[in-house]
Amino acid sequence: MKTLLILVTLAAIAVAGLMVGQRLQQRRALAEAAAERAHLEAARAAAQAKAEAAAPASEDADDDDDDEAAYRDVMAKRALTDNCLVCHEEGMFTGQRLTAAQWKSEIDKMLGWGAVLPEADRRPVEEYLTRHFGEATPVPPPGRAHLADVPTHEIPGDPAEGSAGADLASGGKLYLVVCASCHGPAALGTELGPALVDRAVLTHGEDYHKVVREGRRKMPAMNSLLTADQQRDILGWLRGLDRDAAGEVASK
Amino acid sequence: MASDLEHRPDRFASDRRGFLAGLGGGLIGLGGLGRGAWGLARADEASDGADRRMIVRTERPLNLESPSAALDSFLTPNDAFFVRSHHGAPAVGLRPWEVVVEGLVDRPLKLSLAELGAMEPTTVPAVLQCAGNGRGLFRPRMPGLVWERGAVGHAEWSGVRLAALLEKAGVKPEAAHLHFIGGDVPPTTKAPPFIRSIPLARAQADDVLIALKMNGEPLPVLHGGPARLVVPGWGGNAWIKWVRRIVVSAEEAQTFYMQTGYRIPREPVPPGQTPDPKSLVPVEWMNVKSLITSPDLGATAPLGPIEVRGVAWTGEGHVVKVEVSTVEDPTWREAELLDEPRQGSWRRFKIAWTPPAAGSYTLQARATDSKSQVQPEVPPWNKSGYLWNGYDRVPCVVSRA
Ligand code: HEC
Ligand code: HEC
Repeated sequence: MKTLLILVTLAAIAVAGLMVGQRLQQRRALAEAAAERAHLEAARAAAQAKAEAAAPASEDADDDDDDEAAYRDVMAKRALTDNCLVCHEEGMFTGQRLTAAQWKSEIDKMLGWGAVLPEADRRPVEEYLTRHFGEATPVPPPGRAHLADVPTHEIPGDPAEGSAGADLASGGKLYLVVCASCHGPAALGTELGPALVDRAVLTHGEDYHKVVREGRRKMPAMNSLLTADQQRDILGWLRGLDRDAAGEVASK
Repeated sequence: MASDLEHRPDRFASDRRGFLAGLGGGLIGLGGLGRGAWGLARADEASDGADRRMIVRTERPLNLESPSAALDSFLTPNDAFFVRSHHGAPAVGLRPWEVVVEGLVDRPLKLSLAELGAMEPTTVPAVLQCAGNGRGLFRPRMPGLVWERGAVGHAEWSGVRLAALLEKAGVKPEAAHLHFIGGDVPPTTKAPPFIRSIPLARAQADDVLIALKMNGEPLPVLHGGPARLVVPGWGGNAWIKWVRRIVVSAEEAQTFYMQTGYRIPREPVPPGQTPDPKSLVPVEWMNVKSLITSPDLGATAPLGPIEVRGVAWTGEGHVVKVEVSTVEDPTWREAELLDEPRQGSWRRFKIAWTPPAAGSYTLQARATDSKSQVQPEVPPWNKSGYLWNGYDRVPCVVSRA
């Protein structure tokens, strides 16, 4: 009887979580679509202005081609930023020099690993990558830094900082309602959000709080939805989440 | 624009704007996404003028290459050692680290770091080299991190012999492979976890360790701490970082990083060709290779005798000879070898070179090992860019004295 109650409660939380997640995504998608429209308009206007400035008298076909290419570049870069920086930085692809066929199969590989790329963006992204990071593109000298100056967040920080006094039970419930639809019930990641369990970000309280408060790309800002204490409760719960145990729950 | 780049100090910020600014501005910075100018050289640079700053391949996940000038010693300092991570370091420190040994064993083990530390320690000097070191030098190119010369280093690794752990657990007769489960978390459940296996016979050799220390310091997390596998003579793909679980099994691991990644054709294939997957074997022993560590790439030296120094290593066996010449005058001369010949370890070499006149030269080195492998001018191409071991070449300028 008791287990039934718990199950019912959990199910209710999960449904609510899915709804909140979906609503967040919808709101986010709408805002993004609006931003994208404005952005593309601006790009088109800028391209036109540039073309007019460069060739005030003649409507040169070459210029039209240039504008068209520039416009496609803007779209492709936007798709790359939205979809390809969830799991790694852009250096992972801007450092490569590949043929069209190699780029195509890289994208297939990424989609197989949980990346998403809207069908309409696929061709423009492949063409963009081949045009700018093709075999013949010169390779600029790489960045150089002493280890101590590399702004990496992989060296673990203080695993207790930023979660003192967290209410773990509340954190767990909130996580399932607000975060699980994207990051997965066991925080092992889905196509909508990366894994969080046992990831280095959990040992950098400041990084965690900043992303959760302000959002980042497709990660929605949570400040209007969750209080600072609630964000802390979730961090406390995530820190205690045992990946093996969590994985087992998820696979059942 | 909110991004993961904003934590970086200002001097790192500017050069990445090419990409992000290009998004906002629409038309600027096309193709110019490189990061050429990472601030000026620091005042603490060595007096020889060589730039010893790490080469940053990617920051997230962190992949750093050592410049050859930083490899000019018997042991590579921990903070100059290359870093390779597939999924980024795990959150070490959230709970006590344990190493589990299970599967085909009589007595499954779960050992704390203190328990591992209390076992008899062994120290082994060994070269760690990424299987993809030199990928950036193959033509035609292939996808993957574009390592050039410095995804390699030499350290003293200390820890517990894997054989001792296996004895403690009691391996069943049908066991043939050990699967190692690393602590790094793939970004989604669709991305493959970093799990690979090594054959039991190699695992039981005396030099294979679960290392807890590197050059006398606790093993840094960036290098797989608190516990990583050390397999001297084998490519870095076998040196699993952040070891949490060892599963003794009858079979090779059936994982992406074992069955698809880190495989190489048994017989060379023509450049550009993808062979039948069945003809591929896992990357295991490294091949013979040398690296010139001084002069630095593009260095200028006054006319007169110049000391050429470097390091050389191999997989099975040890290096017996290193020869040096120039592309302009390819008459090989044998260099003096330092350090003990020892499997898995590297040996330094040096030779005085007196250029005939001022001008531009390209120095080149090639090593030979105790199994008579000779470093080739260009190694056979393979589709993943593993095990590059072509002659090491360093252009330099000799000025009028
Ligand atoms: C779900 C996470 C995820 C997303 C999203 C993602 N990648 Fe990756 N990507 C990876 C992982 C994991 C690796 C392999 C890292 C390693 O093994 O070093 C990788 C590696 C790469 C590489 C290096 C070559 C290789 O195959 O290892 C390229 C190029 C690349 N990604 C391009 C992209 C592009 C373009 C996109 C957007 C369409 C993208 N990635 C989105 C996870 C992702
Ligand atoms: C709409 C889907 C979505 C929801 C809901 C969501 N996230 Fe995210 N989250 C993401 C995505 C996508 C990223 C990766 C953003 C990027 O860097 O491009 C991310 C990134 C993060 C990161 C940074 C990870 C890292 O390694 O740097 C943290 C921390 C995080 N989310 C925590 C949370 C928490 C806590 C919640 C619930 C309060 C939550 N997220 C809800 C999609 C989501």
